[in-house]
Parts: sequence; structure tokens; C-alpha cells
Amino acid sequence: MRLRNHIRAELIFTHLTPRNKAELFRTLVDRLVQLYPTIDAAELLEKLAEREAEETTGIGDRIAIPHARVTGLEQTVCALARLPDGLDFGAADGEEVTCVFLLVSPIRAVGDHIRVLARIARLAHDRAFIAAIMKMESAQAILSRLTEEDARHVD
Amino acid sequence: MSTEPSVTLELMVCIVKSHRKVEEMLTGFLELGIRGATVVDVKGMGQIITTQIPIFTGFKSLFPGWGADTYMILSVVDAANVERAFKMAEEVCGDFNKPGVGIAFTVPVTRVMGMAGEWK
Repeated sequence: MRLRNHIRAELIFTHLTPRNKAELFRTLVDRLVQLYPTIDAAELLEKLAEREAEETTGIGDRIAIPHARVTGLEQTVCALARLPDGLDFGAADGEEVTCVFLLVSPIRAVGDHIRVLARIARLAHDRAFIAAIMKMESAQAILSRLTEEDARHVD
Repeated sequence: MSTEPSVTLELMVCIVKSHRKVEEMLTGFLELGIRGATVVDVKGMGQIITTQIPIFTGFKSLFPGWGADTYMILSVVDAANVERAFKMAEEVCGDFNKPGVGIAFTVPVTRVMGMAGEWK
């Protein structure tokens, strides 16, 4: 399993300044729907909101991994957004989130969803990697670094 | 009733030295599609000898990792996944050939109960 197979440069946002989670999700979902038109935006937004209501996806260290499984999607996809101003995700450590990995999978792809989620979680715990991608200027540079880091882990 | 597994299974046993590593190992298992494991809080021989047998308390340096929290992870895995699981364990824990890092090994599983269903 490679995270690289589930993310593309068009889904990497180097600078977003949403006022709240809903605005962030709307921006990310709009882009996802452009690239994967079979996604039902309303369904995805509802599921993301439901998941956040259940428990925050802010995992600490200024990182959040919101995620959902939806109908109408054929493959697991990931978006990455940097939020330089920070956003309150209600994370347990009280820190505002500056780096978001959004993961969306087909409704039946439970295994893939969990595998990719686990890979993101492991990468997200690597502070050097996160510090590096937070400094990079372009989506392509971030994607290259992510590809490099991803390849260091077991396939 | 136990059944002979339809695929070759092995019991993977990993002894690791911190709770953080346990979390990373379990996350790594999920990446590999391994969805079950049991974690036991254990004490190594060095921990017991150097803390509970007075005559040996001066020999702590002979038991690398003696003071760390120690956990045993047990998981029955498809033999086809074992090499990847070992690689992942080394990613998380480091070189197991170095003293104090931990231990990882597998043993064959010939009969099994309670392993119904895998992710699709």
C-alpha cells in the first residue's frame, strides 16, 4: 500500500485560511468533486461533519485526519491542506491544526480505508517529515517529498 | 472446534520497549491489513533479575533495556504477510540485532479458532 497512489498534486493545498471546519471541508470537497464527479458532495460533507461530531479527528501535534467513506467513489483518495493561520479542531492537546489530511474511500472499501488511514497516521507522527512539507513552496514539491517518505515504508 | 487454516498462518511475537512503539506497531499492522493482535504488559528477565533479586541489582548494565516498559504483541498472521510485518517492525523499533531493542519471531500455527473474516 502506497499513500502516493491515493494523492495527486491537484489535491494538495499549500495555503488555506478557512474560518472554521465547515468552510475547510467545503473547499476540499469542492475540489474532490471536480476531480471525481461521481462523489455526492452533500453526502461527503454530512459524513465528515458526523465524524467530527462523534470525536475530533485532530490527532495532536497540529495535525488532523478527517475521513469518510461514501457511495459513488471508485477509489480511495486523499487531499492535503496546509493552514498557516491554524484552525481549531478541538484537538486533545489544545493546539490549532495547521496540517490536514482528508481521506475519502468507497463505502465498501473498509480495508483500504483503514490501511491508508494507518499510513497517514504513521507519517503524521514523523515530525521531521511534517516540518519538511510545511516549509515547501509548491504542491509538486510536497508530493515529491511525500512520495520519498512513503517509499521508505513497507509496501 | 478448531480448524486447519485454509492459508498458512504464523504466530508473530514481538517484544517491544515502549508504549509508543506498540502504538506504531499496531498502526503498521493495520497498514498491512493485519486487523488483530493482543498486547500484553510483560517483564523481561533483566527487569526481574535487576530489580527483584538483590544479588543482581548491580548488574543492570548487563541487561540493555532492563528499565523500559516492555510489551509483547501477539498476532496470528498470514505467512505471506510475515516478511512485510518484520520489515515494518524494524521500521518502528530499529535494528533488532542491537541489544535492548526487542525481539521478534514467528512460529507456525497448525490449528486455529476465532479468525473468521478478513477485510475486502
